[in-house]
Amino acid sequence: MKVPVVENVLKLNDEIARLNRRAFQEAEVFVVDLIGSPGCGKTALLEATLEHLRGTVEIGVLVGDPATSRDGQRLARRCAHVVQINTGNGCHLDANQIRQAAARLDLNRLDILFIENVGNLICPVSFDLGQHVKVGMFSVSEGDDKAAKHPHLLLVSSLLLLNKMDLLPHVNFDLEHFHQDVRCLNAAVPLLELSVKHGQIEPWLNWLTCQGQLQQGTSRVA
Amino acid sequence: MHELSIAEALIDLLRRRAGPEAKLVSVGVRIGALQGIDGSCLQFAWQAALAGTNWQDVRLDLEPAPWTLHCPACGRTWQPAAATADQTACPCGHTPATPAGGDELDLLFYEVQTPVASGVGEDVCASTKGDGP
Repeated sequence: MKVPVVENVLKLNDEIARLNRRAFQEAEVFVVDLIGSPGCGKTALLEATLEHLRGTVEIGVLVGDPATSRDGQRLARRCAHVVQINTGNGCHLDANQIRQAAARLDLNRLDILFIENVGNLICPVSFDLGQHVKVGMFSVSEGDDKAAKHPHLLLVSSLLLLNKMDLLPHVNFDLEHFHQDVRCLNAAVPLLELSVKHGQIEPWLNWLTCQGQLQQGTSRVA
Repeated sequence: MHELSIAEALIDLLRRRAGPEAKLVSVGVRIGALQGIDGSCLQFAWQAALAGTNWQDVRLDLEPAPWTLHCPACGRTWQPAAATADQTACPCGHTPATPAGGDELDLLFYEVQTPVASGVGEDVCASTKGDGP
């Protein structure tokens, strides 16, 4: 006897994500899920962001890695609200891990919560964490075909970052080709070029400021 | 690699839907091309997650759902051969088309053994597989 269902397989994850989203909204914290390859500069970007926004906004970070708390330790030097999540064999974070990790922070004290996802351009895309936005991050040293090869990430991202622009003269990366691929998949998504190593992250800080104000309807994010 | 998480989420959903003691025969799942899920990896994860349990012989039927695009300019809807950036241009010249399918990840059905009337004494494993709801 066949029983028809038609229900999203990740329904349970999505239900927990909804609870997370409600908790984030009640605490008026703007939540960013940062998704990118291993080594594209996610942790470095967050370190630089924490430096720039020190004293103006209160930031928390949930950082996911298969193993070690190295990223958590790096971020904790610049931020008092860091929780390292070790996923073991897991290649992504899910809503329940975020729920448990966020419970260890005082959300009401935070203006922005960054979720640094496990380095991976595929699996994290499928899991709603309760974030306000997903941000896709690439770097020029990965090659200019990465946007084209990961259409799902391109489609769900509210913002794309292209890091390591300082390396552009030294690597095989056709910037025009990359932009073309991005536009083919998502005509509207903003694409910001950064060089985190050299502190060139102003477009990202400006975007963050605008988003924080839009989401909260206040100027809590300076 | 998220196939194991997907398999575990699917098993969770089925335990809630059908009950943990249900005598399942097969399970149907629709997977969109954009989900980045490898069918054979999911089959492997499904078997690994259920090994040694009452559901270890339950068959997983996968139904692929193609990436579907819609052109807002001319109204054409089509399914490109691959979910890649170079497939998004509409012949009418408008780029890009908007996604209209391919991100599905749905449990479609589960099939349970049909209970046999008491006293019949026949093989209780008989099922009405394929008869539809």
